[in-house]
Amino acid sequence: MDTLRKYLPILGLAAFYVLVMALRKAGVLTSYYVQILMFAMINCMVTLGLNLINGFTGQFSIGQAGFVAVGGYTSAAVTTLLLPSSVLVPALRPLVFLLSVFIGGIVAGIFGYLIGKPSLRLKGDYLAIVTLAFGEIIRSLIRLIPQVGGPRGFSGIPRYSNLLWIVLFFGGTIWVLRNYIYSSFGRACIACREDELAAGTMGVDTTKYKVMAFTIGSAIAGVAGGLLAHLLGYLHPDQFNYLKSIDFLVYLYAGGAGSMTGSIMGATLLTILPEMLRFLSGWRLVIYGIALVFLMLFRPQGIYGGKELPFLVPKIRRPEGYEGGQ
Amino acid sequence: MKRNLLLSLCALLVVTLFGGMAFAADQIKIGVVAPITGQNAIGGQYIKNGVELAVKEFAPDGLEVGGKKYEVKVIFEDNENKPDITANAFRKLIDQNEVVAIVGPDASSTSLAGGPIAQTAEVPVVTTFATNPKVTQVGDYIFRACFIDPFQGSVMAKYVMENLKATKAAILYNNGNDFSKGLTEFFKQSFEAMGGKVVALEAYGGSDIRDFNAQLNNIKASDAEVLYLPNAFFETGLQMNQARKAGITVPFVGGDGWDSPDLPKIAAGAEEGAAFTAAFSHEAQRPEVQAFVEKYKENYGTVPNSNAVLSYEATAIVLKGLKDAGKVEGPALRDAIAAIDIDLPSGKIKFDENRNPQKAAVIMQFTGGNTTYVTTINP
Amino acid sequence: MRETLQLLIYGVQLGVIYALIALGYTMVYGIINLINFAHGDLVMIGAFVAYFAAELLGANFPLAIFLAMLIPACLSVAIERLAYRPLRNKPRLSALITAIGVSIFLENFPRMLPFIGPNYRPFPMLIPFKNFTLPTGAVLNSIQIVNILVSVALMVALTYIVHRTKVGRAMRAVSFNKDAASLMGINVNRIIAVTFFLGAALAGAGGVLYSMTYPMIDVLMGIWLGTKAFIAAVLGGIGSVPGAMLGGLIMGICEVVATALYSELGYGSGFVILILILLFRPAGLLGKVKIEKV
Repeated sequence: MDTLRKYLPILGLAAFYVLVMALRKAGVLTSYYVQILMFAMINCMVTLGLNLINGFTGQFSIGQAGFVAVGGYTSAAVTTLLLPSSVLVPALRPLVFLLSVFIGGIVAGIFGYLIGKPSLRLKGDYLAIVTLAFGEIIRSLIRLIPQVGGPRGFSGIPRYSNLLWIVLFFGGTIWVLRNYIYSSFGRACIACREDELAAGTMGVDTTKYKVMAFTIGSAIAGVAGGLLAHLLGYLHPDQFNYLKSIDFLVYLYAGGAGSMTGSIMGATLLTILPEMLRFLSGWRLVIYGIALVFLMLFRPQGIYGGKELPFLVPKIRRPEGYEGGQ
Repeated sequence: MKRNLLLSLCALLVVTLFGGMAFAADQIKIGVVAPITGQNAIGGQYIKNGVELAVKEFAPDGLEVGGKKYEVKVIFEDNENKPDITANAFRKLIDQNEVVAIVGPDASSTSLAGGPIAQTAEVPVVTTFATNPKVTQVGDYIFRACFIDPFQGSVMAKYVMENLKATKAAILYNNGNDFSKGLTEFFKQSFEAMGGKVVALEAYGGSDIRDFNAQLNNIKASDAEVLYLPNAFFETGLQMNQARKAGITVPFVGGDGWDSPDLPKIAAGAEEGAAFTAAFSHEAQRPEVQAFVEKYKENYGTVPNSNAVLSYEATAIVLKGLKDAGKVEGPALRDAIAAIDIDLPSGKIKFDENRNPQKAAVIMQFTGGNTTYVTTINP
Repeated sequence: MRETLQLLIYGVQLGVIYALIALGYTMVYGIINLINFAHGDLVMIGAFVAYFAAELLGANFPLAIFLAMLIPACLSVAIERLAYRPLRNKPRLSALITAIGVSIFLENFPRMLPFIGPNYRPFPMLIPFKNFTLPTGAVLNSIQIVNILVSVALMVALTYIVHRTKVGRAMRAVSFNKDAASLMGINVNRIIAVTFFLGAALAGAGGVLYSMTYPMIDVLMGIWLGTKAFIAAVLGGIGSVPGAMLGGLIMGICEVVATALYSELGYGSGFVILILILLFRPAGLLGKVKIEKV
């Protein structure tokens, strides 16, 4: 039973993938739906990264879109400018794609570190503004680089992302995050969130863990950005302005910060909802605004605030014969 | 109770999924992607009107293709002027609605996002107002109804040199907009090739900027003889206004982003005498133009602008293409459009090997709060 | 010299408008620790109120600005009552998401109303335009003069209210310690409502002045304006009234000077200034560093 529980998430993901592919082959699900699912999963990944920073470590970053941009542009530069598909044999292309996504993540993580280190001295809302500022600065800088198209956007990115890759990365992100959160690193982060002063007195190097969370969160955003670039085939700096960062914030808090399930629910729901509501045209956003207000009024902790789906929480192993409390 | 709810939800899901395929029988479905919400929502309205007018005119009670009568159904999708939403819109139109062709979008950045999807799916696209050369380079299924920026830039350079007799120009452009930046580069290239000199090159960060005083201050200090403002009408109106207030007296020139009756209202007189390149002038005395203007006024109560006429023409191209192709099918339609020869308000439309139409540009001028036609410049 | 003075004039004129809007942000934050994302949209509403007042009622400048201050103020109080008050004791971030929701609603609902729509509208000239040439050669125009005079007058009025009236004292008390203030018999709810009222009134005024200077309004005009004003508020020290005024001025002047020097990146100068200042003064220029008690 324990083994089953341990492998349930992986089996679940695999089953999901097989189901979606089967439905698509059968014509029940069109490429349109699959594309939306892929967007949703990418948004989930970004939101999960943001969750680590905002939800679990208690910081307040409004710059996540900037990191997605860094990851996206970097990985696109690798596959389009450095090693374009024309010079590669087909067998090598997936490898280059994978490599580019990881490079995108690493570069985004480096940016996260560079920005986080000086900024995390600031508290709460000041940090928010600085992250917002950095997000916008990154966007302006990208606009100035002619090789990646500047305001014309970066087109011609080979569309390597498909459902398999995205599902794999999605699963990988959850796996990495889950292990991080339920480890001593994660507990340190949560301690920073709960009471930074107390954590400090307990010997937790709060700055180190805050920066670490920021770096990992931005790296995840970068990976998601790489996947996004190769899904759309086109990137434009204005896609990653602070309004997009606010979108991610909304996904996070509507779903419930501090809960991985919440991020997944929030991001998925709020990615699919605008598409489903296309028939409302102009009224769509009006309803979205009202819905947000009502959601917060009636469920301020978010849809899944503070709770997780059981199979995401690892079972704590206790030594033999232990009988004590929790 | 709960089970009934579940069943009905499933039923609803199935219905929605299969809904799109329901009436495939004798319908031609054309997708239109336009900004119905978002920053360019006004343009979206004109586009909608243009498309509907074209359908009314070329397929008043259906379209006959290959001997069979079809009902023409237009499906509008909002792209909020954003690339990722455009990709979704294209996907939906192609996969869910199974459109035979797509008209739009009206900007280069969004067209570049949606183009590859249509190209792979072999669905012809006729963008209305995407002027960047790269747009049709995406693939042989992508066409455009407007001229391209290199042409526009060189037309204005010629006008400045020959008609205004100016050899030193200043440019104030929108650094956050590919159209503005592109026009600036092409104008500069052509102008300098003709012996002119750009003595002041100032930029601003995006369409939300309203204050240009600092840049205009610099421009005033230069010895420019003309100021090129290749920007959208709302920014340009403010720029002209501020420039005159700051004491800049040189003439203004610009591009097709100016073509809106709102510009004089915003510029409040500063636009007097300013000239710009346009795709279309509702004053051009050619009979096709006047006929179109009359029809548009009759149906919608206002004078049409470039957005309206370009979407009208794009739709007309698709409809005629279908007739020429003889069957309702992507590849055949594509070939028919590539070979098309049609007379439209802008003139005779033929596509070159890059799927760009050989279109003339008109020079218009603002006089007394209205646009007047100055001249036509052919490619 | 003439150039510098001219740029300074442009900068100050822009800066006082940022300051007016920043004041609203800072007051609301100071009192309930909320970044009111919808504040920028109240600026837009003020501008539209003035537009309709001028077009439909033929209002002159004083009446237009009065209405533009009154209506957003009342709207703001209503929003506080309906959307923010129920969340006052809940996690702060929930109120933030609510603010975002309100902002999205305010941006999109007016757009659906047929008499507003997504179109840009030219703002009427409420004051006759006249250029005055200063001795040093710089040019000052009537609109700039009005901007500066009205903004300064409003800021002086606000400072008077905050420091010399009973209501102001109550506002300061509530922002210092809400619970203690209520124990002292202050009706906290009412004071918060007053804060929202005043903040939004300033925002509405800012909207009218902005629209007079850059005579073109649309439903999305509040987004960037609000963001810049918010940055100005943080720069000066969020929660501090003089800080917001100072921050606004700095933002305005820096933006104009940076644009004159290197126009491609000028608009981002505000962000850079912000980061620089926060690095050396983490609580903003005039902000109070909160001492954490264990």
